[in-house]
Amino acid sequence: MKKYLAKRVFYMALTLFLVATITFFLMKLMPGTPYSNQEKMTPEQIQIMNQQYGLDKPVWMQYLMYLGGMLHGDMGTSFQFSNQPVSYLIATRIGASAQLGIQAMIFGVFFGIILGSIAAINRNTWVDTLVTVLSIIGKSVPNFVLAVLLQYYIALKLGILPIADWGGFSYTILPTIALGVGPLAETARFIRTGMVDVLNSDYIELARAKGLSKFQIVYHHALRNSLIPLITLIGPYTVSLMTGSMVIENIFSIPGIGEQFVKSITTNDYPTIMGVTMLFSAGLVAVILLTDIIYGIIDPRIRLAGNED
Amino acid sequence: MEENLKLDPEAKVSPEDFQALPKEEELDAEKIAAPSLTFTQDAWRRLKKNKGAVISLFVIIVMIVVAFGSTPFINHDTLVKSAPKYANLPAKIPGVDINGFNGKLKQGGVWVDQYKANNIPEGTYFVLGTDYLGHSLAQRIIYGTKVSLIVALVATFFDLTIGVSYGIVSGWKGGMVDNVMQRIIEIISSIPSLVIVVLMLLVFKPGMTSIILAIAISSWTTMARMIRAETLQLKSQEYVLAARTLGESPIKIAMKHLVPNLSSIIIIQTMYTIPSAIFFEAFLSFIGIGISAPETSLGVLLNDGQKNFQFLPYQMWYPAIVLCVLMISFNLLGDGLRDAFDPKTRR
Repeated sequence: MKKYLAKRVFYMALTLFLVATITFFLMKLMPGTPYSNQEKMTPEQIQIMNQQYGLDKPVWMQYLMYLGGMLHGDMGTSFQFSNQPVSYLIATRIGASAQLGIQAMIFGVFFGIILGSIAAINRNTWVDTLVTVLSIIGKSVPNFVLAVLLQYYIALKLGILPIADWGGFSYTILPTIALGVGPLAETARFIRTGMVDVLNSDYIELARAKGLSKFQIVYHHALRNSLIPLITLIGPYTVSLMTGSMVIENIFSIPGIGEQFVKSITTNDYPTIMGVTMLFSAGLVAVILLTDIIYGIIDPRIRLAGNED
Repeated sequence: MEENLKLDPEAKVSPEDFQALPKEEELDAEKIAAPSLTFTQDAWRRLKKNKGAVISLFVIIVMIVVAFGSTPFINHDTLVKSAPKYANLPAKIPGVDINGFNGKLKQGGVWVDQYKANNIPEGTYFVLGTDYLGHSLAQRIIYGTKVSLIVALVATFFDLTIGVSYGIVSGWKGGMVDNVMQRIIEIISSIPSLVIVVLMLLVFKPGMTSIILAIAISSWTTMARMIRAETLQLKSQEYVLAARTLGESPIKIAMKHLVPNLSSIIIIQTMYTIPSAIFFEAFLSFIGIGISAPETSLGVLLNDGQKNFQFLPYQMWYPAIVLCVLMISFNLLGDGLRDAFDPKTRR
């Protein structure tokens, strides 16, 4: 277990190092200048600016400085956004994104489990068909389309919920739904398939023979066993939530990382792009490692060290 | 059983009651086999039973024919010509008099004929209306669908070339080679594909090139993993061993023995790659870092439409519907193909 962990953490570090390196050198390859009004500046001004941002040093030194800073959590200074340090920019915005992401994940998984179980129990009835159709639609309708529709019809037309901005819980409801529908549909399909499998197994037959109620059978026996494989989906969900956050935060003008990322891409703000890129990669790598470990603990049949396949 | 044993004691059976069959019929009566079906025929037979998948297949074919067939009529040049005179006209279909499709638009709760209000000459029709520059929305949607389909095609191409060959090589070679190749995949797949796209967009300018490159780098990893796992199993099959013993070259074994047996996985996985590639392009164009104006794609149209959604809802609805239908069709067809090719998962 320890050896396996060490190996995984090593690969994690290697991945992040590669991402950092690739990002850095791609940024250097980028055409254009970080200063939005360079033609108006005198050579001396450019010189001073370059010095301030460390752009006057040779590339390899910039690279080492960048890596060194990264280790201390220092991701440089943003070229835009009033010269704030990138780490500060991220720190002030991560809360909203994290809250939204976690809420969406909980919303999607919770309702996905409920819908999936209902479909599995009522297998091959109209309920099952309805859930299947809904989950296909949920999977197919892009979240940004859904977000715009929700914003217009629920917030603007009905006026029940705030249209945009970030205030209290009520502000988070629509973005959470828009973000969470994808994971919800996926979970529902996944749980349904798994549960149909489990419901056909011998121990469910035994539970039924013992005279347990339907609820007890489903809750205690079927659901618990079909939940385990769901853990493997957390990684892909994280990716889809990160991707989704970029567009959802934009639509609902939520001050989060995703919105920041889009803004920094369109304004050539390299340090911020690099910072958020690293954050996304680190987040994903950590989530994948964590789910693998949890999976190994919950399901002892999966041997963590077993890598011979 | 017991029922059969209860013979009527009164029954008299004489040899005349039995008649010998002619020789050929005798053989026929023994035959219980259905006509033999090849693997593909069998899958096709199962797919045909799945209504959703058949309809989806039909929809996809129609979309492909319309999108690519339109190339001589709708191209980049016709789409960039703006006609401000015709800007923001709602749909008007000849002979249809339903509000919303007759050139009328709801303004402040009243349906107003936009064509009359803007002095558009009688007999001018835009089946799906026009956008803010006076382009025909129908033309732009068809062109946008073509872009989506091209992206899908590109993703499929990389899935089939890089993904399949990488997986086969990794699984076939095994040992150190396999180990290194798997670590590479692990690293690639733990970089969010979004990040890859963004990096590509920064180096190359936003547009098809960067989207295609990003897909080339990131889309094939799942395919490679699945192909590798299956190759590992196929490797130890007798027919592969036989081919090896007879001295067939690995490339020939891969083409003749492995690929046909991997075909169901390849087809199923491709059907999962396509919708995600289409979504990715639309998503990037929607937030303005993918394809951007004056180029057209469904994402660009959605982005344009979203800005005027409150007043000109049709500009968002039509591209949204087309995109959703495209995604639903590919997802349904994918599910249908999975059930058809892999009856074990069918419930």
